[in-house]
Amino acid sequence: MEEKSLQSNAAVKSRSLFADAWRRFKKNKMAVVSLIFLLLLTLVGISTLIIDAVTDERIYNTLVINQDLTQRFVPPNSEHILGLDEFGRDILLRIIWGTRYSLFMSVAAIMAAGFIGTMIGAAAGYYGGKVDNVIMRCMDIILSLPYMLLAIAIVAALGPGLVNVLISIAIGYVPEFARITRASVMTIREREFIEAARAVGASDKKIIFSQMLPNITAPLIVEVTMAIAGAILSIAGLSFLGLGIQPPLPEWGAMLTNARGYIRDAWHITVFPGLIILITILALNIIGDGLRDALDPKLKD
Amino acid sequence: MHKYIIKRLLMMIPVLIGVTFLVFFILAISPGDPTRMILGQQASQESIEAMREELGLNDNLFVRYFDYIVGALHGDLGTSWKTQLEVLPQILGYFPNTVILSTSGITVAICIGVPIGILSAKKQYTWIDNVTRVLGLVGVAMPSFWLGLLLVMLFSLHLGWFPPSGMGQGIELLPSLVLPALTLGTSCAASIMRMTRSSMLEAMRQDYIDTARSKGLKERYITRYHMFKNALIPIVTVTGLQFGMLLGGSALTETIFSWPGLGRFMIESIKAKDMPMVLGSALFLAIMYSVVNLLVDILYAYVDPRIKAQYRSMGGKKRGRKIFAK
Amino acid sequence: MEKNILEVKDLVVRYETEDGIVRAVNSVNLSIGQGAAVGLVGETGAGKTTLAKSILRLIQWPPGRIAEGEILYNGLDLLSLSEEEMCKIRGNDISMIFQDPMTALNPVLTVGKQISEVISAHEQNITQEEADEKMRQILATVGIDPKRAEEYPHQFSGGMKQRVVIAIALACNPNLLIADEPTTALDVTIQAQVLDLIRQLRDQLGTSMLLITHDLGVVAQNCEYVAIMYAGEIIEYGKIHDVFKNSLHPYTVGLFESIPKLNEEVDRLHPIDGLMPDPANLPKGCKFHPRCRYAEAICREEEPEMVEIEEGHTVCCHRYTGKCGLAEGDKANG
Repeated sequence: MEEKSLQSNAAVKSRSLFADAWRRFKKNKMAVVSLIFLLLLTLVGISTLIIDAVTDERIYNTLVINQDLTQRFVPPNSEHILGLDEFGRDILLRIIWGTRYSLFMSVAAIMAAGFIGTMIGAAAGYYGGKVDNVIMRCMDIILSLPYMLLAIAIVAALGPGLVNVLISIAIGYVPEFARITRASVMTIREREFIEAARAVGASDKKIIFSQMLPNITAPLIVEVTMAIAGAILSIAGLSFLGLGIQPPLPEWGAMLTNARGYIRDAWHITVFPGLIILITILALNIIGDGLRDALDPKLKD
Repeated sequence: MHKYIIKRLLMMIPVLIGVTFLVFFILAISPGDPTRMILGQQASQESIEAMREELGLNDNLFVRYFDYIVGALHGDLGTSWKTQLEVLPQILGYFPNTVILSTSGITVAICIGVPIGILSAKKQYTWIDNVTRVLGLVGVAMPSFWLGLLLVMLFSLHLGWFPPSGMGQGIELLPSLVLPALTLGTSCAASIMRMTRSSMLEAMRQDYIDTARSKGLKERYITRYHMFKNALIPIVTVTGLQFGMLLGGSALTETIFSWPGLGRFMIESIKAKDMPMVLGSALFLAIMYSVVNLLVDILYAYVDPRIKAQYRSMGGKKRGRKIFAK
Repeated sequence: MEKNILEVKDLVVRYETEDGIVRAVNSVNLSIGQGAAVGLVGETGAGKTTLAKSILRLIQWPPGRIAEGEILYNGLDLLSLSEEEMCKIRGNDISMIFQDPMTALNPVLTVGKQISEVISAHEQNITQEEADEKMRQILATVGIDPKRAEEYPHQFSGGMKQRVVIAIALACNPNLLIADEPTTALDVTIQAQVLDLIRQLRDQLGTSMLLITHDLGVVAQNCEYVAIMYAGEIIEYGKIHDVFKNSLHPYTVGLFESIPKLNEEVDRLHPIDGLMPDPANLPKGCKFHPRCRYAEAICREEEPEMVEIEEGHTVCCHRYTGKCGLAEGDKANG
């Protein structure tokens, strides 16, 4: 029974923390605009998935993948707002259909990295000692490789492809999540409410999941936002190099791979896919900054 | 101090072993049969077997790793599967170009990032601060490969100021360096600017700034010796990290500008499935990254006397315990 | 009347933040005579430090600004000076000792450098060697081995750091020293040493002092005058003897009742009920009325004027302005 009251206490505390944070977040106009943009983008991305499921990818094949070489490099006009690319495909539609690769894959990769990293970090921070040492040395080794180099090496080994790209992106972010979780767990490990939970006989697992993790959501949410931005950049970079998502799939970075060759012929092929990457990452970073300020007002300058 | 550096070098050994093993492991499990690549599709079964034996592919992973490291310590990183050339001399040939590019990139980044960061902090709450903050956000979010393409579009094709690709020799080097260095430097500049701004703001809040003002020191002097000197550590950290990233991650920029650096060489080797080349380049870049990080750590001591004192005391017996306690 | 080295007139300082305007100092009048020491006493948050910083114009905009008033130093209005002229005053004519020696020193500069830079800043045509020589003398004066000049603040203990801070403040023989709780952050044994040092140096140099503290005992030992500050206002001012023996303002009386006395047998101490009002949201009328046991209708409506009760002893309370019956208040209370 006491344990229950402890939990509900923690719940009340976190609820008011998030309500407070939300109130502060709402004041940040740039962050709110960014959030709305991202929600719209997500909505668009999800609708393309639904459209594909309903139409059996017919629309996808005819409008996004199908080439029409008579229509190459058509500049932006009223019919094709962002113009047509080097194979006569509508750039706007390709960007819209590409959301799943850029945004959703990044989210998936970071969720995976976040889950694994948090578990590892929580274990390291909670048990300390040898467990901590071994885990964190392994994380140090991953961290001592430049992120892009690691991702490139993994893709090089596994070969291109959706799942392989996802793995290569995720692995690099595991140590970061582990580090944050470990640090937070270690600072709250000795606090009274954990001691109280232990005193009433809660198991390790229970303490980690019900007491500690709710208390470290704030830094993790911020990290997740920033990491998704980084992942989008990395996926685009890998695809641009020809190591990630392969053409003709409309991943934003992959759309730029060929653009380099046509830079003289058609500016719009280069500009728009890059612009959407920039805006998306910008939005995520602004949201991340806004969340950090909102969740920890002391840190605000 | 020397003791500390030696300790740090010794501590690098397990990390390097870990890193090399990680890279080796990742690349060794990659599918595909190199013997077919070397001998061609028509090769007989016997010659393939002989080749496998020669390349040591039949040994287990740890034996292969051990052999590789022993070779590496003797300066032998194997030979290319494609060209049969030795790997190390090739790497050493490409690496200086990467160094030239990353050094220019980081120089650009520091020259832009630090002054703007300071200005932004000193002018907090003004339009200058708002503009530079937005620029910083955009700079961080900018995909470097896209920026590179835009720069080429504007400055090479449209204005014709700089060559769009390649690395010029002699007097030609500088113009050919401008666009790649800007491309590499921009996102670093933004990171450095953001860090400079926030650590300057942090320093400006400190009590000792009030003390400094109460002494009647000039504002410029306070900015330089009291604020900036204290803000330097995080700036050095982020700059060091960025430099390491540039060294290890300039593949994108090098590809866009056809810059003959190690990153581009590695990407081409990957596409050619030339594993000894990939492995050698990746290891080399990873080691360079570790070395840069070590140098940054050592640089701290010259920036912050407190850390120097800590290093000194760590030179003694305490060091081991401290690591353990961490 | 003796010459005043510092006169603060109707000073108003505000912090304008997102959450509203914080009125930290409200119409403060304060003067410090040549060579005198004035104690400024009040609770945390009463605006003491803000007042002190305003005198040196160290309030940073944003969010703080000196909204109204005059600060006369030897008749010269400091608020009318340019920043450059102000730099010549700071550290040279008026200097300040800050509350926490742990944070008041720059961690990345040597102690010697931090002292010599104030000398170099104010003495024209002085070479680095001469400044260093002077710095070593000053270190010796405050009781630190001059050999330690090359060390960094983290190598010093708290008491030693405060000595360094004092050395910085007195390096150019200022006429006025503002000491903002110079001993609060120190151990009790060290506190006495530091106060002794300040007193001894003041005797040598004839420096006037504004001593900010919340410790009435420290004021009694070091000052001739005392000003009691509450919610950004000075509510009572006078000679130490007058204020201590004949406390007028209910808040001052409360302060004295809340400290233990050795020579009286008291069953329990009497803390003042309630809390200091939020400076962003000050009550109307007398700022003390919500906590005052004598409060009447007028106290909630009208701000009391400063009245002089005996020579040099002023108080800011309706009980003495004649608008609210003193006798009645006593009756009501007891």
